[in-house]
Amino acid sequence: ACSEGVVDSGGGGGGDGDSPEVTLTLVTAAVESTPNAAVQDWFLDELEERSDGRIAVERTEAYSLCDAPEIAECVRDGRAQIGVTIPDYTPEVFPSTSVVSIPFLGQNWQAIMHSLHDLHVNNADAQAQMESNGLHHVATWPVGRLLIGSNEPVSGPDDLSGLSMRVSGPLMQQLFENKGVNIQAIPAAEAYEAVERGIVDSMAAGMDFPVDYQLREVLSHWTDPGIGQYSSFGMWMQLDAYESMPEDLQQVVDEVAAELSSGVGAQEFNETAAQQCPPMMEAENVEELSAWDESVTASWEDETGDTLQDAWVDLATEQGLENAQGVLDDYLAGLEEHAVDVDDATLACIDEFQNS
Amino acid sequence: MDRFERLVVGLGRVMGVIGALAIVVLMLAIVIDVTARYLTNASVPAMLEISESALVVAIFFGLAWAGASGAHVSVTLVSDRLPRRTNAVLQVVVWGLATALSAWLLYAGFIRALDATSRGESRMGLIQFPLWPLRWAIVAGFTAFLLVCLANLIRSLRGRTIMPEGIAEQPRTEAGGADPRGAA
Amino acid sequence: MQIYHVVLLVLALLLILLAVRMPVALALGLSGGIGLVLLRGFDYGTNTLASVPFTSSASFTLTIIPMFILMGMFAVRANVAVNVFTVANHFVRRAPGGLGVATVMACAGFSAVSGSSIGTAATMSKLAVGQMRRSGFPASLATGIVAIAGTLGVMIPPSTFLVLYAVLSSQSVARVLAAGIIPGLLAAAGYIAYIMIVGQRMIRRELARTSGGTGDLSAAVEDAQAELRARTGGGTSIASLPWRGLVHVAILFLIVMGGMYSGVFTSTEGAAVGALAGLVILVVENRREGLAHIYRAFRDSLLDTAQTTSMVFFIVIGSGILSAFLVTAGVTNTVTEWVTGLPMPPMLTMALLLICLVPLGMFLESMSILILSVPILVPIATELGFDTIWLGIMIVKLIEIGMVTPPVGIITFVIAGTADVRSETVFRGVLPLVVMDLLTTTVLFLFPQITLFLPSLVRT
Ligand code: NA
Ligand code: NA
Repeated sequence: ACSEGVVDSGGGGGGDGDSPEVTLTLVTAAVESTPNAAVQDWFLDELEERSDGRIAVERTEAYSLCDAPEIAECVRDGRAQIGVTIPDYTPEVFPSTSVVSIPFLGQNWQAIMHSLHDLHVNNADAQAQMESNGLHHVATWPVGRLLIGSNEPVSGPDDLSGLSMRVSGPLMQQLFENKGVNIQAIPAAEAYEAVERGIVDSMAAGMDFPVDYQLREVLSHWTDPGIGQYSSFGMWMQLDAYESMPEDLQQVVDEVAAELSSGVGAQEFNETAAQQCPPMMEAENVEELSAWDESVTASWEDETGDTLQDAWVDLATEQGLENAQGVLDDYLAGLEEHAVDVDDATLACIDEFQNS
Repeated sequence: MDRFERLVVGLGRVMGVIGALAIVVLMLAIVIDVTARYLTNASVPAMLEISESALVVAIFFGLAWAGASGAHVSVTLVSDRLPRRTNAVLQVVVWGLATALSAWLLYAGFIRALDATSRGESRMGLIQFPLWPLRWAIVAGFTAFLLVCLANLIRSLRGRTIMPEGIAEQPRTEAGGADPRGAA
Repeated sequence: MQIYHVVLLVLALLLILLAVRMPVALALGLSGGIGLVLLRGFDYGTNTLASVPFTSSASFTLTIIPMFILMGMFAVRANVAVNVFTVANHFVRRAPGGLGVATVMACAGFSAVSGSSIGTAATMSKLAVGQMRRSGFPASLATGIVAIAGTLGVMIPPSTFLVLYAVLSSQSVARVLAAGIIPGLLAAAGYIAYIMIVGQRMIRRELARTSGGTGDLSAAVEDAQAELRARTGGGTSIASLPWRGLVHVAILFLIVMGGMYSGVFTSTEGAAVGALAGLVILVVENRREGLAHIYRAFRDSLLDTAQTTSMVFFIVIGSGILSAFLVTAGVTNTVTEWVTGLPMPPMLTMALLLICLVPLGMFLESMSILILSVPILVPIATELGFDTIWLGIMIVKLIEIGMVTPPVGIITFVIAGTADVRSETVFRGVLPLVVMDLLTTTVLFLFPQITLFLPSLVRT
């Protein structure tokens, strides 16, 4: 930094000599009281607590200082030091975390978060990718299982043909396109209107679409096709800010991050995600919330084979990730290693709906 | 009009025309997408991204023309009540500051454009669409706008009024019937 | 230096820059940029200046703004304005301030196809201001009517604003949209009442003044001749009125509305299709004038649209820089803490918080205010027991008022630009109408059931 502002203290408050050593500004796309904010907040609270107040986090409102697609850039250029957003907004920066978007692979929320954390501690290529962007990886977690929302029951891949659907992500688009789905490019904020006007008649998205984007009002059938997790939220620190901290504080950051990814994150996420269920249960318009028969999913997965994994390797390589195949292998090994039984809020809600 | 000013106005006009063409592209891209969707039930790849890009080009390429033809609004509430000489001095200050801010915007945009180009900034829709060229559209727009500010600063220093006064042949003066100036 | 010193300095600087006639966009950007440098250093300010221009422009949803402006520009050069107002004038000329009343009604109608206030205002400004001026409306009244009636664009659905609010506050989009209908119509009724009671006197005075010889003689003469023809019944028969103007409006209306409701396109896309339809009407209407004439009309519409679009977005960018400063300085949080700390009844606290939006609207662009205020106001309102949908309407209502009030009233500037008058003229005309709006707002504030009746009929 070649210049500083002229304002005396960073936080403006601390009067009794205990002002923090490091003040980190947070920019986030996680709106208050959403599951993603719960994961983020646990990390930030714990960071302040375990550093005995030597680290302070200045939290700005979601979307206020930097818009969601801009957050990675804000952290890279130093307007903020911690960023939380959807890495898919800037795919070229995050090829190492986009493994989450490979269909059928990510079935266990906790294992994905844990494996991605390990990947950015142990895999040199994944680490190099983050560092080349001026970022220090803290955590990446999935945003919830993919649901298909429509106004007709969809109970297998064959029912997909002819639907006009909003699907995001290149791999998911490829998967659905192969089943005869007409893929539509609609911004998330216009998804509701697009359904209302009949521009799309269906949606492939997580629980936040029916609940937070209100799509439960206009789509009556929601089903889990067994594709699993499909998109993620990421949290990163500015590399310079991380490296210029004293070593013991760096250690605190890494410890808290490790703990977050090895179980606490899942707990925080699921507790808040469970609150998305009552609105679905109470929605008068929702007739179905179900899951496909496992054998139906399995035969679709068999039919797809490794094509989408290969497609990911090509894409990630193109985006500058060295040895993408090695990264994928390490990720898959991590998934197996960390596969523990943790409740999934989406599956739990489907059970509740089925039994009501 | 001296040579520099002619250059500035000419550049602004050319870019204004490109901005106007971008408006056509924007309209057509959306209409093509709507038509194709109606006929084939699927979006045309990249039409959404082309519309966004056209909007960026329209905004920033039109900036200098809007500046040279006096479309950027200001509040004359106070200055109308000040003596002419005071206003002349203030005009130098205002356009000096405007030049400084435009230069700053240009510098910031240029650095960002270099960075975006080096990492191939893009967005993922139906296809991966490059965003970095838009950063250069912003740089081009601010360059032309900086020149307009400079021309106004030079005019102010010479005690003349700012543009558009004294610039011939303005498309705006041909504007339709709702323009009271044209109607009178 | 303390943070609040910087905040005061920046706000003072903004006012000074505006006062010395710096273009509004530059004044907003410069004061915000300087504030950021004082708070966080030069690099920080530069990074913000590098980002804001891109993020405030590269968005599909925003394409609705230039497309509705373009549709209006085409419509004007297709003589739609002249034709429609000739017909309208024929029927409402006996009513006090008839053309103004017709303008408000037309704005309300157009708002039902426009998702944005700026688009509505720009289009109606092209359509109506010149006609009202020629019928004897003072410039301030004519532009003031269009400015205030333009705000109906964000209240009467479809509205990008209301959709954004629904998403930000996790409310039902359908309900929030439904909630805008009655408040929008109520506001329109208020404007009409003002025009019929107060406005018509101003028109009579203006007519007396101009025909006195000092003013715009030709306009007064033209108007007098029209009046004479109408009275004697000669010349202007009902059959010879330019009815095709109404047909053109109906066509545009049906394309935009019909297409949207039949599911062919969204309101954002509808704007582009409407613009293309406007172009077709322009070509048909001018077919006898020759290709060169049509080309000129086409080119001028495009240049005007590009120019207005640049001007509007440049202000949005400037205000984006200033609002980055306000967020960085923590101004929004401080205001909230201060207000909730006051010991007073919930109704008063809520009223105070909402009133805070008006001064914000004096300096910031409306989208920034919405984004800044929702995360603060929604939790507080919920805590105090107010309905979130009602809150959304109140927020949009007050932001709307901010869009037409000095010193930064973006609608006012757009109208000043398209009608080629000074922004003070528009401000002068709009202020009494803002008072009407505040009355409407007070009624809506005291009786939430007015707003909440229609949403209660929407099933979820
Ligand atoms: Na509207
Ligand atoms: Na205002």
